Amino acid sequence: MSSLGNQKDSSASPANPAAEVILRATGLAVAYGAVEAVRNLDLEVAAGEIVVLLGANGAGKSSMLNAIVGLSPRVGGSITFEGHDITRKSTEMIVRSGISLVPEGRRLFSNMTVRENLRLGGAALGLAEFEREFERLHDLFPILRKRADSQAGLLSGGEQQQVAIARALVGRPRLLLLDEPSLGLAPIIVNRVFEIIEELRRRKVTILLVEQNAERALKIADRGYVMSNGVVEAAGRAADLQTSAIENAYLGTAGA
Amino acid sequence: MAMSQKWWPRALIGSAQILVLVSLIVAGVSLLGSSTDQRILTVFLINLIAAIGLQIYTGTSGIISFGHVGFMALGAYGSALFTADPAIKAMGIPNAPDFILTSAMGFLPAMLIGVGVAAIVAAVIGRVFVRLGGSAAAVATLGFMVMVFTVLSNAEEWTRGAKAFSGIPAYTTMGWCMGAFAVILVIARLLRESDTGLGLRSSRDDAIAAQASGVDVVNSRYVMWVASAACSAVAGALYAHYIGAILPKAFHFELTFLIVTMVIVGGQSITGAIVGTLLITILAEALRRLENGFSLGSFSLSEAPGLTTAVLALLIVFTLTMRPQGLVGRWELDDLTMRWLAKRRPAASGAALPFEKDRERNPAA
Repeated sequence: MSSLGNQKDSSASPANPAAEVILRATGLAVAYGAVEAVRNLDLEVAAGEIVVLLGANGAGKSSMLNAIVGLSPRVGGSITFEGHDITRKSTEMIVRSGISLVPEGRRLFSNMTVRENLRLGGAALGLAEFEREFERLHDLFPILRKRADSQAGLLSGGEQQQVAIARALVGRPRLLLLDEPSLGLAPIIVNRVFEIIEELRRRKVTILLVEQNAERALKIADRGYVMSNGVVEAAGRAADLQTSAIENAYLGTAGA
Repeated sequence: MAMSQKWWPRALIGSAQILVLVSLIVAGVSLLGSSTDQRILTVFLINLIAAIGLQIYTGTSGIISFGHVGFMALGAYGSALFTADPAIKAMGIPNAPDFILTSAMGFLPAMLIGVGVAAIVAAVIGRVFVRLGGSAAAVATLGFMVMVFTVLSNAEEWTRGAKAFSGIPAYTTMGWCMGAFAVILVIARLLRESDTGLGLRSSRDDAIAAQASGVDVVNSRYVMWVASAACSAVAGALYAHYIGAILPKAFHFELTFLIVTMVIVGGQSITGAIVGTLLITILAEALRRLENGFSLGSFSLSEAPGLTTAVLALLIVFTLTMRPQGLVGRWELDDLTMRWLAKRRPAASGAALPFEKDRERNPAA
């Protein structure tokens, strides 16, 4: 475990020191009643980075993402976004300040059309501006043009995931939180999802990603945090985390 | 489909379609119906406004309110007190304040006072009420209705208490009813299709996803709650000036369950409220005639009081178990006509059907 400790010390800060840190969690604690999901967690995300949160089921990854947007109960520590304290803000205020969450399981409004789903994601935009953003997303998500007036609940899982990501992007967030985007999708569709994340990287979208598929996630990420039982076990540049030692540690934790 | 890109043309087209249909019913009954039929028609239109008023809140938030009859009562008494003949008021409520005793307003300003009172009360209690859902909301709204009833029954100096307050000018004509219906229908549809309405409807689909999309559920509900109360008050004012005499008992459990049944049976949309009102009105009228006794072959029943209430209760139970989304579900008339047109001309429209069910067209599945 000593090597993990070194990793954490040396590279818990952004890969590119010149880039401005936009999200900073300090000593964050999340608890559901007596159950502590996240303990004393420090995390930073710099502009333009892709940061991945790895860990076994129940490690606290999703709790962490939800805590950032105020959907899970924050009981300690603080979170700042672009220098503003958002620890006590309501979810809608945080979302409107520029952080978007693609929740686990996609959670589209299944009774509504694809366009209405996106309209809700871009509710802060004026109608003309929304239409422009909607058009702009068409080249990344051709599904939007084809199925704009289809009921979202009738789309396939892969299509729904694309709509869920598009819904989070349409409001032009400066930080995108992706919770398990490949979960429950066929391998060929998983490829498509990772292609989309790579394309978002080229477009300089800052992403905090929670992903079970550690190998693929580390390939596209700049940095990563490995969580276990609510605490960060290791942190560092994605390339370093990819070493088998870390992966073994991670898998070992997963088995425990 | 350029039409679906903007929200307000949908609302206006949908309102126009409904207005045409209701106008046809009104014209038909006015020309062909007896005076009894016309009386039923007027009550139908007043109940229709009350049901749409309730649906503005219930249809978007998914929360049923048993308190809207309280807002109807405020609208009714507000309008009645300011329009009744001062001579009658001097006898009936001699101890009322001067601004009520001397007032002899026209219908519209008095109605607006009633609506204003209801809106202010809704705005005050709404801050708490809109945070409630499920059974807590049901109990709280029911409690509000009973509170209004109790206050009106005991405020004898203003309302004559439990006794009938009469001498209310008979201002309510078919024209007033249709005018009020048209205005409230358009308001209801605009609110429903607006971003606020869309956000709130999304929250009944998935509250977490709605919040994650930046929907402010509490404030959206609050907007709908106040608008909904104001529209209910209009129905109350129309009722007072149609019957000519009101008493607190008229705005109690019986009317509450009638309006709530209309909304639950009809569905979650404005169109649903209209279908529900139409169905319940016809059913209640048929049952009312049966209550006075009927014979069927050798079987005859002399009198069956309470038959209407019993059947309405059964209808709620049946709807909630067999078809909880109501008869028309969440669809509006314009959704249904668009779907029908798209099915008739699938090649011409070129776009996907809004209600597409065929998964074959979806190879990525």
